[in-house]
Amino acid sequence: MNWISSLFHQLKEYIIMVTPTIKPLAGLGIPIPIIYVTPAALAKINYYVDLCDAEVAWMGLVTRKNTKDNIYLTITDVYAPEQDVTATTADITADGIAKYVTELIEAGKDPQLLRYWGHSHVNMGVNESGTDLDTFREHSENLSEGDMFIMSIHNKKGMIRCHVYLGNGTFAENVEMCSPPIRGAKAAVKRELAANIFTPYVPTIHSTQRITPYGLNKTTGYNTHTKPITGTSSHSGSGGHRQPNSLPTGEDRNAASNAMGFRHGGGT
Amino acid sequence: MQIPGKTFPVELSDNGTVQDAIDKAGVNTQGFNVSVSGDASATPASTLDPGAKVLLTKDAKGAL
Repeated sequence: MNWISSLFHQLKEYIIMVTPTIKPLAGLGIPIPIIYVTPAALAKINYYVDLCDAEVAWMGLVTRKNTKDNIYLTITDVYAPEQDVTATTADITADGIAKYVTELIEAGKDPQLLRYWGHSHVNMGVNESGTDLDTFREHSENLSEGDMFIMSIHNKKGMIRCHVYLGNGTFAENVEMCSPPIRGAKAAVKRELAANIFTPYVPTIHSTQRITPYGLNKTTGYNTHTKPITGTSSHSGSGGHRQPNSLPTGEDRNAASNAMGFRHGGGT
Repeated sequence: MQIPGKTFPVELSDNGTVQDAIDKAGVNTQGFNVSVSGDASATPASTLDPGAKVLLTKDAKGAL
């Protein structure tokens, strides 16, 4: 039966390939959107997938922010409307969506932000089926120019496949979904690392140097040009054995360390 | 403007119906489920309350 399964899979791939769909984003000069999912929304999605042994689908609210270089789409809330499910299908009914929209309106939320549809493939792969593509296309084709729609498929193994329709016949394929940055967290972590993380001092030994029973030959000894990188840690200058990593990036640290004669990895 | 969850607020007269609102908005509702917020029993001939919204929705089918 394997060859039948393989043939079916190939046929399915071919049908997907030849089905006239939306123009891919690549090469059109449009930035790939960055998809954020708030922790609360992500938790709900994970629970949907984990708690349902059949397929399950959900929809969600999406906010959009354009910057000079990027498009940020943030899924802020998700909800599983009334739907009919089996082990292999999950159909959110039009009535179910209408009820959800009504609830959004009554809660003072903007139903125009309803731009996300996700569903679970339970334990199977997350490649989209023809039905999934049809739904994605139907829900995308009537968008206003510049509007967007997100589709994602999940499974219990934690796999995710996400596409984004950006309007005007373009979509981004297999876009990563990630958590939004927490304001100020990066700067705080930089400060924490600068204060607490140290690089062990490794003396550079040149071929002309000799190790005596007392350590390095004093005439050629430790690198005399070594100096603390920067920073105000009390450890800096403590015999040169530890240096605080107070530079902001790994590249900067490496550059500084190279300048001071430290060894990195397998080379100098 | 026809998408799942799309609503189109319209200016309604006191005796406006759902169909009046659709016609006024000039929307093709073919293939969409038409409903009214807050009125599950509304039909195209139903009179819309001021502030009510006509909802155009499609089902969303997912499958393996």
